Amino acid sequence: MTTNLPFNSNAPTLEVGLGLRRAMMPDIHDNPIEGVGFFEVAPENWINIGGRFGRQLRQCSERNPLYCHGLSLSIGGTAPLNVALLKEIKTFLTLHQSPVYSEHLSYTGDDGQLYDLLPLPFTEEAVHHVAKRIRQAQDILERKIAIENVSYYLVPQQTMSEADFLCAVLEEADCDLLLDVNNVYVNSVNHNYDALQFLQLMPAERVSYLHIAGHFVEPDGVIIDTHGADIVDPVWALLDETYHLMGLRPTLLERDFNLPELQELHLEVAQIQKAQQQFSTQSKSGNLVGHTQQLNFHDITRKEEHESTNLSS
Amino acid sequence: MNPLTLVREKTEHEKTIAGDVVNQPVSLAQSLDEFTDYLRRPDETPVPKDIDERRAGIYRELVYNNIESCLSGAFPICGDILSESKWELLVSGFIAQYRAQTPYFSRLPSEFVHFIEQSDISLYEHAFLPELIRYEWVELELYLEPDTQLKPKPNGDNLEHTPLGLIAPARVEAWEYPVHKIGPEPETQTAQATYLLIHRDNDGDVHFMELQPVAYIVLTTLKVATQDNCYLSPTEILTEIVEQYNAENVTQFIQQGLALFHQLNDWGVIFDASAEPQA
Repeated sequence: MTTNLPFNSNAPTLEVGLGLRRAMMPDIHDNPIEGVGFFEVAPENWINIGGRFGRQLRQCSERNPLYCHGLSLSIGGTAPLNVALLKEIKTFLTLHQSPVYSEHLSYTGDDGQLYDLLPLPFTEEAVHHVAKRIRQAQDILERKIAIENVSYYLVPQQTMSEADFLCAVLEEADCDLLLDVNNVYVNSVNHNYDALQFLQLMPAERVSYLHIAGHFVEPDGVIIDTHGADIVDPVWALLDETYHLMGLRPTLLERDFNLPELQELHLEVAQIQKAQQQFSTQSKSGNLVGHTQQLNFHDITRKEEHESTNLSS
Repeated sequence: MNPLTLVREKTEHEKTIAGDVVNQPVSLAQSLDEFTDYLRRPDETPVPKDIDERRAGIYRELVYNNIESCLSGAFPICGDILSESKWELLVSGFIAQYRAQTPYFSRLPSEFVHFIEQSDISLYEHAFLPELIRYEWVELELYLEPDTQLKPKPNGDNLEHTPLGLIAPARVEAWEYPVHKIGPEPETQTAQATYLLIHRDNDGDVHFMELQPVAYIVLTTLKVATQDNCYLSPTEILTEIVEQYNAENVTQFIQQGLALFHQLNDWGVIFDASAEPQA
């Protein structure tokens, strides 16, 4: 066990999260990254997993809130909605007291799984189809879920813009939005639209939290959303714009591939904190209008527990 | 042409392309199916109409690479043994023909085991390959298996009369090949009946022990009794086997059998079924 870095009491740590991967275990528990207030996992990767991994996950969720970000529900798919999976997810959310469950606005297979986030058509028919299934999922889970704007490389059929499609789904399903800032950037480049304009069209009151990540640029300029590189400057700038438009939101760093030394991720965590602090300072001095929704901070007890764990370990 | 390909009906999409169906409006379901048909058999299926080939290729690679990396991680020895082209053929055959149902990506390897068991064995270069694949999965499955309540360890002093059970994260398996000895560069393996006990300890590490045929019979009896919730003591198990197999030197057999149970107790793979579970 190594010594923890000194805890920074000014940092709104519970607003910055890290996507938890098996490859990060057990270091993340033994040597926590300063500034990380919550974790996010794909429940499908942890449901009914025991042994060492199961124990390590429990240790993480005892200390930090655990957001759940689904992978294989195939909410946009045409195979029957996987009710058995939803029930397992519900148990998992209760077990880990997860404050959030989110899924992707996509589909992941046909009559079998393909385990990838496939692109939906942007049509009225697709809006009604997905919205109906999100409502079903919300009924089974007895909670509102957040839907993420995915990165997509093609649109099979298109009668409306991505922004209109996304807003129509959110409205008709009455669900939240997990806004992935990197995906907005990636899609704006790959499909040649204005990222800021896209953000301006998003319903701020539905945005529950944000994702931010790095990506890979192919030789022909197409960007692949790999979560395998450092975050680029235009995406940082877009994060600032997002805070200005939506207000402060919990923000999660995703890093799935080319993992650096775990403590190096602290640099990007710190940069998110800095962006949040800058926004808060500017808001207080009245420089910004910003959306003044009650911040989605977690309950105070948990925060205190978190601090004391850090100080005493 | 992938030799794993089965003869099948044309999909709706292919009928459309071939002009069998004319000017039907494409529904959401059709549109999604066209794309997954392409992703499953990209070399044989045309890119759906109005879709850019370069962009479709991105998904083709994402799907293949994701599944391939999961499988090569789960089956490192099989992946090493097979030539690259054979391995690619197996993975693309799996994507094309099999409909994996589990939403849990870490259980995808078990679907691959089913696929291999259903496939034509002559494709595998080595006859032991289906067994090796199953063996590699058993190891991983035990590593991931859900925790169950910790059961009390038997007291060694009165072991022979204590009703026992086999702990949950343990498998007693028989194989036609010595699967646990096959490395990345196997010599031609001849069949050799092999019996293994594979289990996970309390720290989460997975171990395997090679068993003598008679030890395999003892452990299988213990396993079945545990599954039936009808727990037997070592004496009861050994007596049952003596009767069943007409063992000759009964005293020696019972003595060796008891020694085996003490060993199993040291390894932590048996529990005392008469005691209260530990908190």
